[in-house]
This record gives sequence, C-alpha cells and structure tokens, in this order.
Amino acid sequence: MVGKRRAFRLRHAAVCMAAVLTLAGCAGKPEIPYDHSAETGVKTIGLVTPYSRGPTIVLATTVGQSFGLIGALIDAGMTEHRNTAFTGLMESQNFQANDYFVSCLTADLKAEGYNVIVIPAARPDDNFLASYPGSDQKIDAYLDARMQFGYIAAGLGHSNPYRPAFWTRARLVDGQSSAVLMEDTVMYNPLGAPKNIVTIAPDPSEQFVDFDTMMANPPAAIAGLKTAEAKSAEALANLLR
Amino acid sequence: MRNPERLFAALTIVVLVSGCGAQGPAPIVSLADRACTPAPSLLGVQTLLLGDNNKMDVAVDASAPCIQAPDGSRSAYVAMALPATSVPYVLSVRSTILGQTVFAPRMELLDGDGHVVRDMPRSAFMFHGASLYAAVRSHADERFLVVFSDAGTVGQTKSQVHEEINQQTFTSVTPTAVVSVNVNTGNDHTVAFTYADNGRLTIAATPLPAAE
Repeated sequence: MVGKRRAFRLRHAAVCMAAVLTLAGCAGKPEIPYDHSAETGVKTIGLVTPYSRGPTIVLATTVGQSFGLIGALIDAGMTEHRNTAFTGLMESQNFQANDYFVSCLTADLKAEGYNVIVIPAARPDDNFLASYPGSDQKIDAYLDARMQFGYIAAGLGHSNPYRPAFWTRARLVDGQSSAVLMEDTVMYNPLGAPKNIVTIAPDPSEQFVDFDTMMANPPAAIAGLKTAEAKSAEALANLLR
Repeated sequence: MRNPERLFAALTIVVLVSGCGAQGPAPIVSLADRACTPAPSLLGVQTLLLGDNNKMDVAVDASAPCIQAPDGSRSAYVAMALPATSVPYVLSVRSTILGQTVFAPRMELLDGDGHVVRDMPRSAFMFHGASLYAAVRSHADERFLVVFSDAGTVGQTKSQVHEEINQQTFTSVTPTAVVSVNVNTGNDHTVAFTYADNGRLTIAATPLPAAE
C-alpha cells in the first residue's frame, strides 16, 4: 500500500514537472475571447470549485535531467519530497489554495457586476467537467476552472530563487446551450515566453534563495502564493469584462 | 596520448531561448511636434484579410498619423478595414516588446460611417509573454479597427522578471562513438521597458477556434 502511494506520488511529481516544462516551451491551447456585449443575458455565474492535485515545488533545471531515466527518477523523488514538505507547511498555516482562489475569483467577478454562486463539485481528475451540477438558483453560465500552484526555481543557485507560480485554465459555458463562451489560460510566473496564454510576471519582492529558506518562513511562503492566486483571479475576471 | 581534437571533435551549443538582449527603437513618449487631426482618417486604409496566414505586422514609428483629443492629449494610431465576410472570426491585436519599447495599445471598432461601436481600453490588453494582447469576437456591423496609443499610459515604465530554461547540447565525437549530452540551465533576468507611441503591432483575423 505504501509502495503504491509512493508510486502515485512519484508519478504525480513527474507529471507536474513535465507539465511545467511543457508550459515553458509550448504555444498553449487556443484562446476563445468572451463577447461581453453579445452575452448581455449572462448575469449569474455558477463558479464550479476547481480540482487541484496539491502543491508542486519545481526546480526546473537540474543535473539529473542530463542523465536519462535514472536522473528523471531521482528528480521526481526530490520533487515529491519538496511537495510533501510544502503540503505540511500549508497545513501548518491552515491554507487551502483552492478555497483562496475561489474567494478571490468570487470577489473579482462581483466587482465586474456578476452575481456569483459557488457550486461545489466532485472532480475525478484534472479535466473540465462534462456536465454541470444543478442549482436551486438560475445559473446563466458556469465558470469551470482548473488550477495548479506551487513554487518554481528556474535552476540552481542564488540567482535562480524560488518564486510562487499559479496556473489556471478556465472556460465559461452557457447554462442553456452548453456553448463555450470563453476559454483561456492564465499563468503567474511562467517559464519562458509562452504566446497563447495570459502571463503575469512575479513580484520580485516575494522570492526565496532556496527551498530551505522558504520552508523556514511559512507566513511569507503562503503570502507569495496568495499574491499569485489573487493576481491570476483578477486576470481571469478581466477576461470576462 | 590521444589528440584531444579526436576526442572532442565537435562541440555544439544550442541555445533554445531566443530574444534575449533584443534591440529595439527608442521609445517615443511625446507627439508634441506632430501635426495631429481631431479624428482618425479611414481613407485608403489597408484591408485585413481573414486567415492564419494573413497577419499584418505594422511598425508604428515617427511617421505614424496621430489624433488630438478635445482634452489635448495625443495618440498615434493604426487604422485598417476589417475583413468583408459573414464568417465569425476572432480579431486580435498584439503589441510586442522591442528592446525597451512597447506600443501602449487601446482599440476602437467603428461602423461603416466611422462611428465607434466598441472600444477596448488599455487594461483589456494583457501580457502574453513578451507582448500585450487582446482579442474580440467579430460583430457584423463593425467595418474598421483603429489601434491608438493610450495617452494615459505612454511614458510609464515597467520591469518584469522572466524565468527561462536554456538547453545546451554537447556532442563529443570519438573514433568509435558519438556521445551527446543535453544540459539544462535556468536563467532569471529582468526586462525593463517603456510604454510608448511607437512599436510593433501584429493584427490578425482568424477563425474562431474550437473549444478544448
């Protein structure tokens, strides 16, 4: 059982690392802009709670990457160790990244003039929902957001500090027709210069020279994540302006 | 002793990250010496064509036309006619950072009589890597696009931290084998730029993409 759990965590770490590295070089998926002036009937948004697989603390470049499968396995193991440690840090600070993102997004959407109803959803995996749960209240459109969060260091050394990172891909789906009214990706602190996603440069005041320094300062580590989530939520709401 | 040249006959370095240290024009932050008109001219403007391969790259420089608003503020602009098609499309405007300069965009969509039907303020343009970008879905009544420099933003400076991965491939050729090793290194750098009345715009009208 323990072996299976460890295998899952290693796979999770490998998937997260691959996702981050892919984001660094990819052009991103298509962006579908929202047509606010044509969708005047969208006043109440059902905000579906996002799925998250937990924090990912990525050291994007390591010596291990030069040594094939063995190096990759060692890297995945080290990433898993960092992820587990950071999960403990979040628990010690009573911080739930999903809840914080939902609260930020709710406030930002309300500021844009929408009524927002948070709809808890059980998600089997990190995909958009195939259908949306009902509500007692009338929902004009559903905002379905996926998210990943954590910290990224581009490489080793003090010139490559750990900075908070947040990624969300979201879509707005018409409550009646199920037409996709908007779909886009927002990333705080992206690696590289991806073209087809909204990017937000990190706040240079929120960084840690290495992982141990970050772990030694839980409030500051959480504050960095909060900034990443708040800025990303603001950008996502801006797409629905 | 073997000749080192036989052991290390080739060394190939591939740096995947490009654009570092790119040069660009000096930012233009004042149009005081230009002759501006009260409204943009739509006479003889180019027509944007629909399709992924019909993007228009426009260099906005010191020769660009400008308008002067009633409050005295001035803006350079680029105007073009929109595709004559009934097919819905996405109209996108991208302003790329050139060295230390980026055109500070806002845009208006006009009907056939030149009346403003829709506008997108500067805040609608969000960073997409090394460029500012905004997109809208087409409306049948819109015939012209005008992209202005945003007078309220021009002159402001901004700096951003960028994180990158460089990949270098070292190849050694020996008498019996060729050995290649990829070495990835991380790199942080800060880019500073000024919002300006000049820069480069890429404007496109592309079919509405399918949802994921």
